[in-house]
Amino acid sequence: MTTTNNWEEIFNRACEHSFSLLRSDDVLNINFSAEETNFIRLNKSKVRQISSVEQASFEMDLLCGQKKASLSLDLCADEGSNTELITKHLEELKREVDSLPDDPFITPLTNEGSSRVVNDGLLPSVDEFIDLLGGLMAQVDLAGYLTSGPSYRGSANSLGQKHWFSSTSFFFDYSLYTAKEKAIKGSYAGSTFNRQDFDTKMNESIAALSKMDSEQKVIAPGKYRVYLAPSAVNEVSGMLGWNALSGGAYKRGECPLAELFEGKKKLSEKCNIQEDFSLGLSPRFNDLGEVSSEKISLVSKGKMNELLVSRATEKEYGLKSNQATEREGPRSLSIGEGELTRENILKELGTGLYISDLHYLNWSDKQKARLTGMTRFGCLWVENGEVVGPIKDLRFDETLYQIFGEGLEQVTNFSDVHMTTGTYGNRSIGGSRNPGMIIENFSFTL
Amino acid sequence: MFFMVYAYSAKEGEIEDRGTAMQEIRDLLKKVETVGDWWGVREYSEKGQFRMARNGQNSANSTSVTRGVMVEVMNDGVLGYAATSNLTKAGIEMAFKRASAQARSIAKFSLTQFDESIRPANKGTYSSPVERTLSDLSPAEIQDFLIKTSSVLKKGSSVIEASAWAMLSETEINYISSNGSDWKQNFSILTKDSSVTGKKDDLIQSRSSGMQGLQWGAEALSSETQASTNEKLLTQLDELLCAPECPSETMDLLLTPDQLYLQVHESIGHPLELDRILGDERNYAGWSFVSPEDFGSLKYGPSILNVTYDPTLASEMASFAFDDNGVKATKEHLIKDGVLVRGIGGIESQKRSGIAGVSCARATSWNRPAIDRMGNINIEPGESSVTEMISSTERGVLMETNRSWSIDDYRNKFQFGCEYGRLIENGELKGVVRNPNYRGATVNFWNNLSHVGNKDSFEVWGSPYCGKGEPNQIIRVGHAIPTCKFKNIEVFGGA
Repeated sequence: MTTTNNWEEIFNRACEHSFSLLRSDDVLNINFSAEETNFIRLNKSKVRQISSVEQASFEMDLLCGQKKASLSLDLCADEGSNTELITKHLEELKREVDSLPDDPFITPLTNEGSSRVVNDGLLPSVDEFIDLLGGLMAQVDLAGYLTSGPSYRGSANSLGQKHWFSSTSFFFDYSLYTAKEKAIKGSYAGSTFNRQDFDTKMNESIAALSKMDSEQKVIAPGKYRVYLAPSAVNEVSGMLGWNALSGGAYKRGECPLAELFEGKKKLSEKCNIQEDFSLGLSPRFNDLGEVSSEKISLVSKGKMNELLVSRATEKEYGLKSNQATEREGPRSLSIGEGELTRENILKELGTGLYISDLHYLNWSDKQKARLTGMTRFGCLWVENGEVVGPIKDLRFDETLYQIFGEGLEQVTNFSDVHMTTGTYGNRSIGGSRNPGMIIENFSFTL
Repeated sequence: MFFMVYAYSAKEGEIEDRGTAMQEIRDLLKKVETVGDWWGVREYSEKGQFRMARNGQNSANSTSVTRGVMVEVMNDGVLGYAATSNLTKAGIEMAFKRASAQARSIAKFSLTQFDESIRPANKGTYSSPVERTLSDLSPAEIQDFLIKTSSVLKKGSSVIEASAWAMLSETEINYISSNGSDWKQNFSILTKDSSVTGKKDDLIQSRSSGMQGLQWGAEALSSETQASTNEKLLTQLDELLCAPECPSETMDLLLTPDQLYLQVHESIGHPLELDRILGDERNYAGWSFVSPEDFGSLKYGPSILNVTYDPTLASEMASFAFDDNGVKATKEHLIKDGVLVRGIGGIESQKRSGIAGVSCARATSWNRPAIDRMGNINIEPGESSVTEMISSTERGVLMETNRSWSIDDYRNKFQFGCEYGRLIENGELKGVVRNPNYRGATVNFWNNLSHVGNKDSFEVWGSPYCGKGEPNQIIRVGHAIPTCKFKNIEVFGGA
C-alpha cells in the first residue's frame, strides 16, 4: 500500500493540540504508531484472504505530580475528528489522574532531545505480487502471508522532546510443503522488493524442500547432538525477552537468568549477547523517548554484564537504567558469531539433529531457566555428516545453561537477521540477529 | 461457579433507530457510493481499561478507546476487506473502493469462491448479563480494590512480590449488510488475577488465583470473594516453599478446571478448528492431527467425554448471539460420547470442507477479517465427585492452576506445568509438591480419561489471549470445565 496520508503532520498537529489543553502542573508523554498495510494471506499458493488496514494509535501518558494515567485513541486522516476525540478524552484523563492515589515509582519526564529517521522503500503492488503467484502455483504448495506498507512511530512530550521514525517495508513469511506434509520455512523481507531476489529466495526454498522428501525418521527421546540453525536460535533467543534479561523481573523473583546475573552460574565463553541498534531494526528511543546506547553488552564470554533496566526499575530498586523500555525486553538483540563455517556444519555435527526451526517455546522451570518446545520446519537426521532424512517432530526440554552454556560447542561465523513478523494489533518493529550453534547433550523428552 | 441461563434474545424484525454510534455510519452509508455485488460493514468500538497494583501501591492505569469499521465487498464471489478508523464520508468511501479493488485483484488466484449465503441476513441484539455495569466503577474504586488486595498479599512473611490486576472491556459490535443483516451486540467483560511470589533461602515459588475472565459487571470485584482467595494464596505459597519437588513417574492425574481449561483449549479446541485442518494456519499457528475423515469416527476419548461449543452459557467469555459473519450462534456437540462429530469452523470453512461446524467466525477488532476461532469450548459435567476421584486413586497427583504450556503444531505432543500439586496415595490427599508438570500426546491422553466431575466441580473460566491468524489476531475464549481424572500420565518435577 502506498501512503495516502501525511502521518507525521497528523502526529505533529495532534501533539500540539494535546499540549495546548494541559494545565500548569500537567506533563504529557505521547507515543504514536500508524500504518497503511496490505495483507495477502495464502494457502495452497492461492489467496485465502486479502485485506488493507489504515490505522493510527495515539497514546498519552498524563503525569501530574506523582500521579499518572494513560489513554490510547485511534486517530485518522481527518483532523477535525482527531481534535474532537482528543479534547473529549483528555478531559476525562485529567479527571482520572486527579482521582488516583500516588504511584511512588513514577519518574519525572525529561526532554531527551529530538530525532528524525525516515527509511523509504519500494514495495510490490498488490497486482505485482498476485502476478508472481501465478508462477508459484504450479510449482509448490505454499502457505503464508505478505505484509507490505509504510509504518510510523512517533514520540513526543510536553517538555519539547520529539522523535520520528518511519519505515516502508514488507515481509513475505511462508512455508512450503511436500505431499507427505513435511515443510520448510522461508522469508523474504526488506524495504525494496526485487523480483530477482524473490525468485532466488523461492528457488532456494524449493531446493531445500526437496531434502524433506525422503522417508521420515522417528527419533526416540533422549540426549542428542544438535545443530540449531539461526532461525532456531532465534526462537531460543526470543525467550530472553520473557523476563530473562529484565532488571525488574530479577528483583521480583521472576528472572530465569537470575543465577547468571548473580555469578552463581556461567554460560559458555563462546556466548556473547548484546542489544545492537546499529542493525536498524528498531528505533533507539523507548516509550519515554530516552535514547539508548547504540550497543549494550549484556553477556560477554558467558558472563552477564548487565540486565535491561528501565527508569521505573531504577527508581524502585536502585539498578542503573540503560534506557530500556518498560517491558525490559530486548528490542534489537544480537548474538555473537563464532568460527564454524557454513561448509563444515554437517561434518562438525557428525551424527545428530539438524534443526532449522523450533515452535511454541515456554519456560518449563523458570527459576532454573529450563524451557520446552517442539521441533517444526526443516528438521533432519544426520549421520556421519550426511543428511538421512526428515524427522518426526520431537519435544525438547532443556536449560539455557546447557544450550548457551555447557553444551555449546561451536558457533557459526555467519548470522541471519530475523525481522519481527508480529502483527497483533499492529505491525511490530524490531528483530534480532542470530548465528547457528552446535550443542551437545540436548534433551528431547517426547 | 455454575451458570446455565440463556443470555440473549435475538429479535426478528426491523431494528429501530438506536441513536448509537452505528447510526452515524448508517447515515453516512446513505451518502457513500457503495460498490460490489454484496457488501457488509462491521463497526467495532471498545473501551478497555487495564489497572494494576503492586505491593499495596498504585502501579498502572491505562485506558484504550478504539473505534473503526471493516468494510467487506464481494465481487464475482470473491471477498476483499478494508479497515479504517476514518469514519468520515471520504474515509468510508475509500474503504469501499479499496475492498472492492482488492477483491477484483485476486479474482484469478482466489482460493475460495462464495456467494452471499456466507453472510446470512440476521437481525437482533445481544447484551452481556450483568448486575451492575462496568461504568459504575470509577478508576479510583478499581485501583482501591487492587491496592487493598496486593497490600494484604504483601504481608505474607515470605512474600517478595504481590500484585493484582483487572482488565475491563466494554465492547459494541454493529453489523449491517446489503442483503439485510442488522444486528448489534454489547459485551461487558472483566478479567482479573492476583498473585504472590515468595522466597525461602534460595527457593522461589509463585501462587496465583489464575487469570479469570467472564462476561460480568462491577460485581466481579467482590471484596469478600477476594479475601478468601488471598488467604488461600498465602497459605499455599508457604506450603510450596516447604514442599519437595513433584516426583517423576507415571501415575494418575487429577486436573482442576483452572488447569484443565487450557488443556481443553490446546488439545481439543485448536485441533478441531476447520481452518487449521484446511491448511490456512500451517505457516503460523499450525496444522492439525485431525483429518476430514475423522469426523464421525475418531474416538477422541471414552464415552464419558462430551465436549460442546456453547455460546449460550451466561457469563462465559465468548457467549454471543451472532458470530462476526452474522451467523446465529447455537450450542452444538463437538465430541459426543467420546466420538468426534463436528468441527470448530464458521460458515466459510463449512462450505470449503463439507464438514459440519459452528458459528465461530470472529475478528479481534475492526482492523481484521473474521476467521475460525474458538468460542466457548466446554466439557459437559459428568457423574463423579472429586472425593470419588481421590478415593479411587492409589498413587497420583492433583494439579491446580496453569503456569506453563506448549504443544506442537499438529496439536499432538504437549507439556503443561502447574503452580500447585498435591500427592494422592491410597485414596487420600497427601503432601504438597512444587513444580508439578505433565506431558503426553492428545488422543492417548484423552482416552486415558477415567472420571468426569459433576456439577459441583464445574467452573467457568475464560482467557482474553488466544492468538492465531495471519495477520495475527487475539480473541477471547471461554472454557467451562469440571475437575477430571486421567490414568497413567507421565508426571515430573523441576530441573
